[in-house]
Amino acid sequence: MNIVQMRTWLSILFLSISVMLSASDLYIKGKIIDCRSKEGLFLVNIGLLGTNKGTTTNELGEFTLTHIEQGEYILFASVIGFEERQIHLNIQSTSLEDIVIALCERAFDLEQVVVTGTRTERSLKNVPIQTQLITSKSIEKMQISNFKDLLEHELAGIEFTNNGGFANINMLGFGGKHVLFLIDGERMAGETFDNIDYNRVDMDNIQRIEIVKGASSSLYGSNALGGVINIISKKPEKKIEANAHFRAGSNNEQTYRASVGSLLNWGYVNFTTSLKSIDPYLLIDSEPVKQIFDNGSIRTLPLQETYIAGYKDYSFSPKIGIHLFNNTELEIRGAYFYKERNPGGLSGTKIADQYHSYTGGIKGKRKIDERQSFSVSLNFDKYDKLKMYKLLNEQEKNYENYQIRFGSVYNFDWEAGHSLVAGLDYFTDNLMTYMFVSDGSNAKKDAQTYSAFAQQEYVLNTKIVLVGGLRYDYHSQFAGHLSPRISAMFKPNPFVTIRGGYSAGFRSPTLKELFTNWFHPDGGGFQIIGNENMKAEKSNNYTLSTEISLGRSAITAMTQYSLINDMVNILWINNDTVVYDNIGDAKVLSTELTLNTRITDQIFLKGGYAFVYDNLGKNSVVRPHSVTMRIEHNMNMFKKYHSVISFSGKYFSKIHIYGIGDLDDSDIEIDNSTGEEYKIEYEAYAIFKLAVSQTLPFRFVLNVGVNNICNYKPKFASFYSSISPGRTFFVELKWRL
Amino acid sequence: MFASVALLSACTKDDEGEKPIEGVKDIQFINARSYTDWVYFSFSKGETVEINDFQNSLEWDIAFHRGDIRTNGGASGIGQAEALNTQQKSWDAITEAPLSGYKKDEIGMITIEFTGEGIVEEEQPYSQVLSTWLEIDTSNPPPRYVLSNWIYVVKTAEGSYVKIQLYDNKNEKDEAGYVSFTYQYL
Repeated sequence: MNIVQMRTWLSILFLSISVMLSASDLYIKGKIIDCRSKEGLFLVNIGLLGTNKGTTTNELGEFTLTHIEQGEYILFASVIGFEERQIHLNIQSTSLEDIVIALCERAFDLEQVVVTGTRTERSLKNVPIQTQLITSKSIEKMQISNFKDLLEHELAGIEFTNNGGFANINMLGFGGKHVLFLIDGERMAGETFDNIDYNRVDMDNIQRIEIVKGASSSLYGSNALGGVINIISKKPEKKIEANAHFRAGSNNEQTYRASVGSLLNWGYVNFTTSLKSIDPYLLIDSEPVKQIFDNGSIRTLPLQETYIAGYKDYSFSPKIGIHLFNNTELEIRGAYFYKERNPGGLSGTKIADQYHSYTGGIKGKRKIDERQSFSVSLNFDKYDKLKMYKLLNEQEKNYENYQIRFGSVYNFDWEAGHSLVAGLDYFTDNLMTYMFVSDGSNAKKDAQTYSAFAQQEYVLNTKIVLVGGLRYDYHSQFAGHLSPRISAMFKPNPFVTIRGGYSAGFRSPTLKELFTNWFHPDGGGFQIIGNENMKAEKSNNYTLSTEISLGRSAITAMTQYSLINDMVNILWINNDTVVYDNIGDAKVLSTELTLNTRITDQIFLKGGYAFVYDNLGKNSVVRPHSVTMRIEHNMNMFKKYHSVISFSGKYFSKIHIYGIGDLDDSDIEIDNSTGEEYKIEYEAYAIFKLAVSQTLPFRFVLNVGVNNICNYKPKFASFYSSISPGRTFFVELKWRL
Repeated sequence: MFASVALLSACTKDDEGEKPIEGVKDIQFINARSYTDWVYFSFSKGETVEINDFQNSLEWDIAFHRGDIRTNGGASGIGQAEALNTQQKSWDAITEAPLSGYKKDEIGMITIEFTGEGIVEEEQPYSQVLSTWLEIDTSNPPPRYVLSNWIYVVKTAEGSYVKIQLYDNKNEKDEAGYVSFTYQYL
């Protein structure tokens, strides 16, 4: 019997029954679950097509539709991020109970909402500015405990090296001062060699990470040529939420995390806290660094032992949201973070670097009407560095940076898709460091930026969306500058999205680049001198991306090209002095390819490849090729206790780093004027990790994993080598209410 | 009998030299930051000593200047000092002074000033053997110090032998230009 026949037959039957009965107290009861985890799904929309009957599921995924009349219905269940499902129901004389509908996650969260590119909520597929997303779900599956490793493993074009013992990012050819990190849209104060303190990002407090590559000048300040990485923190989604998390791993890695949250009628409250630590570890060279000179001769440096610093840190982050007069929302957040860094070895017995950060922010958003809203925010962020001298039991503060931003943003949507974002920003950056005065005493410098920006999104037709933006920055040292931006999105058919754009960039030198006057004590020592006469960096940036979604797969290709004028860098002016200066123009070209595919319902594959080229020639420090891959297998071996196996890897191609040195000078000194050029080859390498996650009874999840399965260790540990300790293991227990 | 004992002890003394300090001595954080002045140290006294005319004094055995080291012998002084690198890093592996292979101080170039416009170098006597205790790795800027941790055997000004391991070039605040070492009479 085919379906049409059956339907006709049933319809006749039901019609005749419904004539006899006029029921009204029938109901449909059921539960909506995740097809993999079998857990109930909250806030799923449930309804009967063609009727006004509808509801949403409760926290356990349960729903009830009451006062149903006899008949044949189509019940639908839909929620963001999951495939919608419809099922046929026959209601006869009795109510229906125990209906269980399993929804599967969508292959790609194209319905995900992002905010970074436009400062308003847009679904990922409709945002005209190419945005990458790392969701909390994929963070959970990868089981990576720190922010740096997460970025490196998830994004092909990101590499972290170890710059004098501190993490140093390279994102598609751009260093730390060209990459802007935000937490909920706000900057983080404090840097070490232009890099933020990555430990400040609490991995359990991430809702999603939005990555907008290329200069996004009009909304966030124009210095982020490499891109903006915006970390959106978690907000509670249920009446009561609680999480606890314990992790232990090699090198005495320990992590304890806890969070509680509540979604209430008047708003929400959320509190997270974490404590994590890892011991320093030693890398022992197995092969010496070889300086290869032009004439073929090789100078072999002695084998070395390098300590990679350990740390112990903890943090508290409370957040409160309040609804006021049903059109105003207030968000108050704070955070405190403390880290103690142990440099390891002999130094570790003498000193500890201590870091404190304090964050406070308040944000108000008022809906003027259905189309207009206005928000005001004030944010304070402070980062202090202290040196603790263990043998002397003395403490010395040598760095204090605080930043205050006051901003207002006005949004106006006058038609679906057509929207205007305009705003004003005041930003002050205040830095005290021992590096400003040559005798090493602490001195203070500050700089203010006043900005106005506007961005207009215009839907030309169903296929083309245009975005134009203008930003004006007035910097206390560099006067005013106007940076325009334009981007467009073209959807020739439902499978293809093409995005392209141009933006101008403007980066005023940092306070350190302007005012440093510091004697670097290492290796005999040398003086680093800032330069107040430098010009600001200006840049022209172009991006082009294509996204193709075909059923279970999506392929994205993105190319970015930047032309930077008056690039600021350090220059050796003689053998004991370096100065900051505009070194000339630089060009950076990068291409990134990513593939996401759900091979079966259970197997998901993600791959990425990035190529970076810059015209810095022998000054280039970028590994040109890098590859990421991740394969995830979801299994249901033990009924409702599902398991996930995740295998991921990262590959970097080799790189040559050039330097100047004297071949036969036994008394080694830095001498750039008379030396000869040499190169050092850093080998290509790959690191793989395997993680298994198993759901257990009583809301526990057990994770175990191996990092660096192949036990790769760099031949020698230096600036541009991996700093992996080799194969490491971890075990993790999570509990979620 | 007495005479023979006296003779025997005299012979032994000549062979082994005197051992004014028994056991392992640890000296920490000698300030050798000055580019102009050397800091002189006496093994027998176990402390730094003030020396006015270093080339005509037997009061010192070893001296420090940043990463440079000199011994009281050869081009540096009137003493008997000379030094040998045992190529060993394990303290207990060296139990007696090798018979040969020692080298005396010679004249060489050392850095005596940092002007901000360049390094000033000067010819001075120093121990080419001992100065290998600290290497500066300039493979990538900024340069960094590498301690070799070699154990050296040094003949003192008066002709005794000590083994010495220089293990740290930084002070309690981790600032460079200091010297810490352990030594023991052999």
